[in-house]
Amino acid sequence: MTLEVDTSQVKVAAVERSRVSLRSTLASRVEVIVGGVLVLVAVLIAIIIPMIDPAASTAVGAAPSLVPPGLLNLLGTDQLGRDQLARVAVGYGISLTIAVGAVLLSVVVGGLLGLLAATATSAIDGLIMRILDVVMAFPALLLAIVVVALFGAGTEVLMLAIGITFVPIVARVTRAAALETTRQPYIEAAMARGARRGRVIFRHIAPNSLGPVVVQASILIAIAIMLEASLSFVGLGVQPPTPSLGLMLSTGRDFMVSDPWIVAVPAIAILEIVLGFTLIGDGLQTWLDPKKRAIAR
Amino acid sequence: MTDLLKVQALSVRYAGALRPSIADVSFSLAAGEVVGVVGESGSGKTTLGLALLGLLPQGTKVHGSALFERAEILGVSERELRPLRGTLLSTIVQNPATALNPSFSVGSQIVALLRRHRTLSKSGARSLAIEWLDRVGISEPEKRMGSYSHQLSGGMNQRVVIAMALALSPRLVIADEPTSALDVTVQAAILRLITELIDDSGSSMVLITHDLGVVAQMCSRVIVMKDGAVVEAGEVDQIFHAPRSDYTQHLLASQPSHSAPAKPMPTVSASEAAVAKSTEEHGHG
Repeated sequence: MTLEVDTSQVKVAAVERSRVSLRSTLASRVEVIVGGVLVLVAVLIAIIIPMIDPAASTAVGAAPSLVPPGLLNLLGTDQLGRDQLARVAVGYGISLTIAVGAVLLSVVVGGLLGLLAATATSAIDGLIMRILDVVMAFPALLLAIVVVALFGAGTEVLMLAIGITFVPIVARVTRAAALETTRQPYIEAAMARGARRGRVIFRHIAPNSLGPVVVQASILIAIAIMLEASLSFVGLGVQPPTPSLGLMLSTGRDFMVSDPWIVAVPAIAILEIVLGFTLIGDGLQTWLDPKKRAIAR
Repeated sequence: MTDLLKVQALSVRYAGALRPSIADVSFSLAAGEVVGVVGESGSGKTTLGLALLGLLPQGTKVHGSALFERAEILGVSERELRPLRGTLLSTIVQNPATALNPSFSVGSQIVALLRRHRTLSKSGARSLAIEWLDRVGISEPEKRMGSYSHQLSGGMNQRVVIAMALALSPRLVIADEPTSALDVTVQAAILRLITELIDDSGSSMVLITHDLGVVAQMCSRVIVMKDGAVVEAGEVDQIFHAPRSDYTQHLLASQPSHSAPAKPMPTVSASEAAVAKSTEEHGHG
């Protein structure tokens, strides 16, 4: 009798546990989907709107200035009569290019450094990580400002500037993941079968250490977009008349009280895309977490 | 007959360890012979296997010599060891679930192994891989080529691992607890498979295990280890029927028996006095 009660309780607990894990798996999936939709909307705006009227983003006086959002100008016009939607679209394009470029750069460089640190002797590991610690000790914005000051503003320089600040972050995440993977028996097995060092690193360690790096990359894109906006805001980003989200915020400041949509539009645009990438990163993290995955199974 | 493997005065001390994990171990192995290495956990049997494969962690102190086909394999560089690995010297590891790369299908891993060591075309390597999956008793081998290790059972994974270990017909296989992660019903089948394939290829094997039943079934000679040293070595028949050392006697006594009536299980880890007492009470084997 008591035995029956016990087993039923165990069953209830097990069902409860699987329900919780199922819920968190579902929630993470919803996060990834919502984030994906937000990012997709931004990408579509960046591609389609400039195709309709390529000159609209810089056409001064095409419409009266400071028109509130309406049918003719969906997001209104700025102080020079330029269509805000067209400017947001071009701004999105620039933000996304710089952010994705910077993160790709940091994943390639940081990923290779992290893999090298994880698999080399402890002396080389220490050397690489201490140098990266120095880079990491600089505040990201300050470091980016230094790079821009050295090379001048421009899309490629911004990619480089933001990419460099991310290299230590990616390297650390990769190193930690790779160290974990190195302890797996299949690495030893591969070595016992006579695989070369390079092959062990790139075929056995790298692919199995990718999960955390992908999560980190998605969150870094969101941070890169904010960094790019910050640099543009202080005048170190792309130069006018080319629109950028940070620049729109900066020049719109003067009209914030009388015409709040002027700053609200770029601010919401930044929020939308940053939220999108953050949700993807967050959802992927839960999704790829092996512990949670093991319970869900 | 010359020895395929001759180990002399092998000692291994891990970095930071106070005492060696194995000390002064010597044995030899003829071509085609299967030697069992038995002992409890921590007796150094796995360390012995890792030392022979050159897979000890950096900073480990290794003394002594191990001649494989008259060539020294201890203390030599990765570069010198690599051509041996897989082709002449191979291993079957303990836990098949983690012995395969989870990111690639089992087929692509076997194909990659075959092409690394043999000059084979992609399709040639693929058909050879399918042939090997079939040989190790995997049904629908073509379909299984595309499976990932997490889609296969433990027994199936171990069959794949065995295929990879033996596909290049190595002269010597070091098998470290090849069946202890599997359930009992699968164990027997896997052991039979290993024995068959080893016989077919004429390979030698060092079988590391804590299971004396496995040794009795598969080995011609056996080495008993305790605390990093060889306690006794000899023919399986002699060790099982007339063990010379007390420790071997205790080890044999602690082996569960199906025929004997249920009674408290003798163990080896208890104090000498207790062990002596329990052997007195229950007899051995």
